[in-house]
Amino acid sequence: MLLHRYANPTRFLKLANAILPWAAGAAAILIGAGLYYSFGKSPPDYQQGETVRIMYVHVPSAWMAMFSYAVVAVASAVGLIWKHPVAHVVAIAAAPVGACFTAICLATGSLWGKPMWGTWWVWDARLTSVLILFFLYLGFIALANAFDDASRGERASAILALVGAVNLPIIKFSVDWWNTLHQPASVTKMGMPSIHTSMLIPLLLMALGFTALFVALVIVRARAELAARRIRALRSARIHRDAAEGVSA
Amino acid sequence: MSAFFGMGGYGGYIWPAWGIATIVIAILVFASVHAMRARERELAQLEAETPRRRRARGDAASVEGDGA
Repeated sequence: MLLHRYANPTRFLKLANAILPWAAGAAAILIGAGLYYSFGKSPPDYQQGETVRIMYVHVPSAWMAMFSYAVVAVASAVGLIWKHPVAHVVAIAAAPVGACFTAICLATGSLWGKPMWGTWWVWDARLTSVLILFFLYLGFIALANAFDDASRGERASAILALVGAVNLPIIKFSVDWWNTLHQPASVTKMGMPSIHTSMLIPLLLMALGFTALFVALVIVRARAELAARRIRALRSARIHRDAAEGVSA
Repeated sequence: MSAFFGMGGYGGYIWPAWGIATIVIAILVFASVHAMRARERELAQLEAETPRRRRARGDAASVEGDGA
Protein backbone atom coordinates (compact mmCIF):
# COMPACT_ATOMS: atom_id res chain seq x y z
CA MET A 1 0.00 0.00 0.00
CA LEU A 2 2.82 2.33 0.93
CA LEU A 3 4.54 1.27 -2.25
CA HIS A 4 1.50 2.21 -4.30
CA ARG A 5 1.12 5.61 -2.72
CA TYR A 6 4.73 6.61 -3.05
CA ALA A 7 5.33 4.73 -6.28
CA ASN A 8 7.90 6.64 -8.26
CA PRO A 9 5.79 8.14 -11.04
CA THR A 10 8.53 7.70 -13.60
CA ARG A 11 6.27 7.75 -16.61
CA PHE A 12 4.67 11.04 -15.60
CA LEU A 13 8.06 12.64 -14.99
CA LYS A 14 9.41 11.42 -18.31
CA LEU A 15 6.50 12.95 -20.21
CA ALA A 16 6.52 16.13 -18.10
CA ASN A 17 10.24 16.69 -18.61
CA ALA A 18 9.84 16.24 -22.37
CA ILE A 19 7.08 18.88 -22.42
CA LEU A 20 8.69 21.38 -20.01
CA PRO A 21 11.21 23.12 -22.33
CA TRP A 22 8.61 23.41 -25.11
CA ALA A 23 5.99 24.84 -22.78
CA ALA A 24 8.44 27.31 -21.25
CA GLY A 25 9.73 28.37 -24.69
CA ALA A 26 6.22 28.73 -26.11
CA ALA A 27 5.20 30.81 -23.08
CA ALA A 28 8.12 33.21 -23.56
CA ILE A 29 7.53 33.64 -27.30
CA LEU A 30 3.73 33.93 -27.12
CA ILE A 31 3.74 36.35 -24.18
CA GLY A 32 6.48 38.38 -25.88
CA ALA A 33 4.45 38.60 -29.07
CA GLY A 34 1.33 39.29 -27.02
CA LEU A 35 3.05 42.25 -25.32
CA TYR A 36 4.15 43.60 -28.69
CA TYR A 37 0.62 43.45 -30.01
CA SER A 38 -0.91 44.72 -26.76
CA PHE A 39 1.20 47.87 -26.67
CA GLY A 40 2.51 48.32 -30.20
CA LYS A 41 0.02 47.08 -32.71
CA SER A 42 -3.47 47.33 -31.28
CA PRO A 43 -5.33 50.65 -31.49
CA PRO A 44 -7.11 52.39 -28.61
CA ASP A 45 -10.74 51.38 -28.28
CA TYR A 46 -13.37 53.88 -29.43
CA GLN A 47 -15.10 53.73 -26.04
CA GLN A 48 -12.48 52.53 -23.57
CA GLY A 49 -9.61 54.50 -25.10
CA GLU A 50 -6.20 53.18 -24.07
CA THR A 51 -7.61 51.28 -21.08
CA VAL A 52 -8.45 48.50 -23.53
CA ARG A 53 -4.81 47.48 -23.05
CA ILE A 54 -5.70 46.33 -19.53
CA MET A 55 -8.06 43.85 -21.19
CA TYR A 56 -5.14 42.02 -22.81
CA VAL A 57 -3.97 40.87 -19.40
CA HIS A 58 -7.33 40.91 -17.60
CA VAL A 59 -9.32 38.68 -19.95
CA PRO A 60 -6.64 35.99 -20.49
CA SER A 61 -5.97 35.80 -16.74
CA ALA A 62 -9.73 35.46 -16.14
CA TRP A 63 -9.85 32.58 -18.62
CA MET A 64 -6.83 31.00 -16.95
CA ALA A 65 -8.38 31.45 -13.50
CA MET A 66 -11.30 29.30 -14.63
CA PHE A 67 -9.27 26.87 -16.74
CA SER A 68 -6.87 26.26 -13.84
CA TYR A 69 -9.77 25.55 -11.53
CA ALA A 70 -11.20 23.08 -14.04
CA VAL A 71 -7.80 21.33 -14.07
CA VAL A 72 -7.73 21.25 -10.25
CA ALA A 73 -11.28 19.86 -10.10
CA VAL A 74 -10.77 17.21 -12.80
CA ALA A 75 -7.44 16.11 -11.33
CA SER A 76 -9.06 15.96 -7.89
CA ALA A 77 -11.87 13.79 -9.26
CA VAL A 78 -9.37 11.44 -10.92
CA GLY A 79 -7.43 11.27 -7.67
CA LEU A 80 -10.51 10.50 -5.60
CA ILE A 81 -12.09 7.99 -7.97
CA TRP A 82 -9.10 6.08 -9.36
CA LYS A 83 -6.74 6.83 -6.47
CA HIS A 84 -4.09 7.84 -8.96
CA PRO A 85 -1.30 9.39 -6.88
CA VAL A 86 -0.08 11.74 -9.63
CA ALA A 87 -3.57 13.25 -10.06
CA HIS A 88 -3.53 14.78 -6.57
CA VAL A 89 -0.01 16.05 -7.22
CA VAL A 90 -1.22 17.82 -10.38
CA ALA A 91 -4.16 19.37 -8.51
CA ILE A 92 -1.88 20.59 -5.72
CA ALA A 93 0.58 21.94 -8.29
CA ALA A 94 -2.08 23.76 -10.31
CA ALA A 95 -3.98 25.44 -7.46
CA PRO A 96 -1.41 28.16 -6.58
CA VAL A 97 -0.98 28.96 -10.29
CA GLY A 98 -4.74 29.38 -10.64
CA ALA A 99 -4.85 31.50 -7.50
CA CYS A 100 -2.23 33.83 -8.99
CA PHE A 101 -4.16 34.20 -12.25
CA THR A 102 -7.31 34.94 -10.24
CA ALA A 103 -5.49 37.59 -8.21
CA ILE A 104 -4.21 39.19 -11.43
CA CYS A 105 -7.72 39.07 -12.89
CA LEU A 106 -9.20 40.80 -9.84
CA ALA A 107 -6.47 43.45 -9.57
CA THR A 108 -6.42 44.36 -13.25
CA GLY A 109 -10.23 44.36 -13.39
CA SER A 110 -10.29 46.78 -10.50
CA LEU A 111 -7.74 49.03 -12.21
CA TRP A 112 -9.90 49.02 -15.31
CA GLY A 113 -13.14 49.52 -13.39
CA LYS A 114 -12.02 52.71 -11.68
CA PRO A 115 -11.58 54.82 -14.84
CA MET A 116 -14.31 53.08 -16.86
CA TRP A 117 -17.07 52.32 -14.36
CA GLY A 118 -16.05 54.93 -11.80
CA THR A 119 -15.53 52.35 -9.05
CA TRP A 120 -12.81 49.93 -7.98
CA TRP A 121 -15.29 47.28 -6.94
CA VAL A 122 -18.97 46.39 -6.96
CA TRP A 123 -20.60 43.39 -5.32
CA ASP A 124 -22.21 42.18 -8.50
CA ALA A 125 -22.55 38.57 -9.58
CA ARG A 126 -19.47 38.36 -11.81
CA LEU A 127 -17.04 40.10 -9.49
CA THR A 128 -18.32 38.34 -6.39
CA SER A 129 -18.22 34.88 -7.97
CA VAL A 130 -14.61 35.45 -9.11
CA LEU A 131 -13.70 36.58 -5.59
CA ILE A 132 -15.26 33.34 -4.32
CA LEU A 133 -13.11 31.46 -6.85
CA PHE A 134 -10.05 33.10 -5.33
CA PHE A 135 -11.11 32.00 -1.82
CA LEU A 136 -11.78 28.47 -3.10
CA TYR A 137 -8.18 28.33 -4.31
CA LEU A 138 -6.93 29.57 -0.94
CA GLY A 139 -9.14 27.06 0.86
CA PHE A 140 -7.86 24.24 -1.34
CA ILE A 141 -4.22 25.17 -0.69
CA ALA A 142 -4.81 25.54 3.05
CA LEU A 143 -6.68 22.22 3.32
CA ALA A 144 -4.07 20.32 1.30
CA ASN A 145 -1.44 21.43 3.81
CA ALA A 146 -3.58 21.21 6.95
CA PHE A 147 -2.94 17.56 7.88
CA ASP A 148 0.15 15.76 9.08
CA ASP A 149 -0.99 12.84 6.97
CA ALA A 150 -0.63 14.14 3.39
CA SER A 151 -3.15 11.65 2.00
CA ARG A 152 -5.88 13.03 4.28
CA GLY A 153 -5.04 16.56 3.18
CA GLU A 154 -5.21 15.72 -0.49
CA ARG A 155 -8.56 13.95 -0.05
CA ALA A 156 -10.09 16.82 1.90
CA SER A 157 -8.87 19.44 -0.56
CA ALA A 158 -10.01 17.33 -3.52
CA ILE A 159 -13.53 17.19 -2.09
CA LEU A 160 -13.50 20.97 -1.63
CA ALA A 161 -12.34 21.38 -5.25
CA LEU A 162 -15.24 19.26 -6.51
CA VAL A 163 -17.84 21.06 -4.40
CA GLY A 164 -16.44 24.42 -5.49
CA ALA A 165 -16.66 23.45 -9.15
CA VAL A 166 -20.32 24.59 -9.17
CA ASN A 167 -18.86 28.10 -9.05
CA LEU A 168 -17.42 27.76 -12.57
CA PRO A 169 -20.72 27.85 -14.51
CA ILE A 170 -21.91 30.55 -12.11
CA ILE A 171 -18.92 32.72 -13.10
CA LYS A 172 -19.36 31.98 -16.78
CA PHE A 173 -23.09 32.69 -16.96
CA SER A 174 -23.31 35.31 -14.19
CA VAL A 175 -23.28 38.07 -16.81
CA ASP A 176 -26.26 36.50 -18.59
CA TRP A 177 -28.26 35.33 -15.58
CA TRP A 178 -28.07 38.51 -13.57
CA ASN A 179 -27.98 42.19 -14.25
CA THR A 180 -24.35 42.97 -13.65
CA LEU A 181 -22.07 45.90 -14.26
CA HIS A 182 -19.66 43.49 -15.94
CA GLN A 183 -20.16 43.24 -19.69
CA PRO A 184 -21.06 39.87 -21.23
CA ALA A 185 -18.60 37.80 -23.26
CA SER A 186 -17.49 39.16 -26.60
CA VAL A 187 -15.02 36.44 -27.64
CA THR A 188 -16.42 33.16 -26.33
CA LYS A 189 -19.98 33.57 -27.52
CA MET A 190 -22.01 31.81 -30.14
CA GLY A 191 -21.14 32.82 -33.66
CA MET A 192 -18.24 35.08 -34.49
CA PRO A 193 -16.42 37.01 -31.81
CA SER A 194 -17.67 40.58 -31.82
CA ILE A 195 -14.31 42.24 -31.46
CA HIS A 196 -11.97 43.47 -34.13
CA THR A 197 -9.03 41.29 -35.23
CA SER A 198 -6.54 43.94 -34.08
CA MET A 199 -7.78 43.35 -30.52
CA LEU A 200 -8.46 39.65 -30.85
CA ILE A 201 -4.81 38.92 -31.79
CA PRO A 202 -3.22 40.25 -28.57
CA LEU A 203 -5.99 38.61 -26.51
CA LEU A 204 -5.40 35.20 -28.06
CA LEU A 205 -1.60 35.51 -27.97
CA MET A 206 -1.67 36.34 -24.27
CA ALA A 207 -4.19 33.58 -23.59
CA LEU A 208 -2.07 30.98 -25.38
CA GLY A 209 1.06 32.30 -23.68
CA PHE A 210 -0.58 32.06 -20.26
CA THR A 211 -1.73 28.52 -21.06
CA ALA A 212 1.82 27.49 -21.96
CA LEU A 213 3.07 29.21 -18.80
CA PHE A 214 0.47 27.31 -16.79
CA VAL A 215 1.64 23.98 -18.23
CA ALA A 216 5.30 24.79 -17.51
CA LEU A 217 4.55 25.95 -13.96
CA VAL A 218 2.39 22.93 -13.16
CA ILE A 219 5.21 20.63 -14.30
CA VAL A 220 7.78 22.50 -12.20
CA ARG A 221 5.51 22.51 -9.15
CA ALA A 222 4.54 18.86 -9.64
CA ARG A 223 8.23 17.91 -9.71
CA ALA A 224 8.75 19.80 -6.46
CA GLU A 225 5.75 18.09 -4.88
CA LEU A 226 6.82 14.63 -6.05
CA ALA A 227 10.32 15.21 -4.69
CA ALA A 228 8.85 16.37 -1.37
CA ARG A 229 6.79 13.20 -1.15
CA ARG A 230 9.78 10.99 -1.89
CA ILE A 231 11.73 12.85 0.79
CA ARG A 232 8.95 12.24 3.31
CA ALA A 233 8.75 8.56 2.36
CA LEU A 234 12.51 8.07 2.62
CA ARG A 235 12.63 9.94 5.92
CA SER A 236 9.91 7.82 7.48
CA ALA A 237 11.53 4.65 6.14
CA ARG A 238 14.79 5.75 7.70
CA ILE A 239 13.13 6.45 11.05
CA HIS A 240 11.58 2.97 11.04
CA ARG A 241 14.89 1.41 10.11
CA ASP A 242 16.76 3.38 12.75
CA ALA A 243 14.18 2.31 15.33
CA ALA A 244 14.59 -1.35 14.27
CA GLU A 245 18.36 -1.01 14.47
CA GLY A 246 18.02 0.56 17.89
CA VAL A 247 16.01 -2.44 19.12
CA SER A 248 18.40 -5.02 17.70
CA ALA A 249 21.52 -3.24 18.97
CA MET B 1 7.67 58.58 -25.65
CA SER B 2 5.81 60.43 -22.90
CA ALA B 3 2.62 59.94 -24.93
CA PHE B 4 3.29 56.19 -24.78
CA PHE B 5 3.71 56.20 -21.01
CA GLY B 6 0.83 58.63 -20.52
CA MET B 7 -1.53 56.29 -22.37
CA GLY B 8 -4.06 59.00 -23.15
CA GLY B 9 -4.36 59.94 -19.49
CA TYR B 10 -4.89 56.34 -18.36
CA GLY B 11 -1.25 55.49 -17.73
CA GLY B 12 -1.94 55.55 -13.98
CA TYR B 13 -4.24 52.56 -14.40
CA ILE B 14 -2.68 50.68 -17.29
CA TRP B 15 0.89 50.47 -16.01
CA PRO B 16 -0.03 49.37 -12.46
CA ALA B 17 -2.29 46.68 -13.98
CA TRP B 18 0.53 45.27 -16.09
CA GLY B 19 3.02 45.86 -13.28
CA ILE B 20 0.99 43.81 -10.80
CA ALA B 21 0.58 41.01 -13.36
CA THR B 22 4.32 41.02 -14.07
CA ILE B 23 5.27 40.96 -10.39
CA VAL B 24 2.81 38.19 -9.47
CA ILE B 25 3.95 35.99 -12.38
CA ALA B 26 7.64 36.70 -11.72
CA ILE B 27 7.30 35.73 -8.05
CA LEU B 28 5.33 32.61 -8.96
CA VAL B 29 7.91 31.49 -11.54
CA PHE B 30 10.84 32.22 -9.24
CA ALA B 31 9.29 30.52 -6.21
CA SER B 32 8.23 27.46 -8.22
CA VAL B 33 11.64 26.92 -9.84
CA HIS B 34 13.45 27.60 -6.58
CA ALA B 35 11.30 25.08 -4.66
CA MET B 36 11.78 22.45 -7.35
CA ARG B 37 15.56 22.82 -7.33
CA ALA B 38 15.78 22.83 -3.54
CA ARG B 39 13.60 19.73 -3.12
CA GLU B 40 15.28 17.77 -5.91
CA ARG B 41 18.69 18.59 -4.49
CA GLU B 42 17.56 17.43 -1.04
CA LEU B 43 16.10 14.25 -2.50
CA ALA B 44 19.27 13.46 -4.45
CA GLN B 45 21.29 13.91 -1.27
CA LEU B 46 18.95 11.65 0.68
CA GLU B 47 18.97 8.98 -2.02
CA ALA B 48 22.74 9.07 -2.18
CA GLU B 49 22.90 8.36 1.55
CA THR B 50 20.29 5.63 1.66
CA PRO B 51 22.03 2.76 -0.15
CA ARG B 52 25.11 3.17 1.99
CA ARG B 53 22.99 2.89 5.07
CA ARG B 54 21.20 -0.12 3.69
CA ARG B 55 24.45 -1.91 3.08
CA ALA B 56 25.53 -1.01 6.57
CA ARG B 57 22.31 -2.25 8.08
CA GLY B 58 22.83 -4.27 11.21
CA ASP B 59 26.26 -2.75 11.72
CA ALA B 60 25.55 -0.57 14.74
CA ALA B 61 28.94 1.16 14.58
CA SER B 62 28.20 2.69 11.17
CA VAL B 63 25.06 4.59 12.19
CA GLU B 64 25.69 8.09 10.88
CA GLY B 65 24.34 11.36 12.16
CA ASP B 66 20.98 12.45 10.83
CA GLY B 67 22.19 13.57 7.37
CA ALA B 68 20.35 16.42 5.68
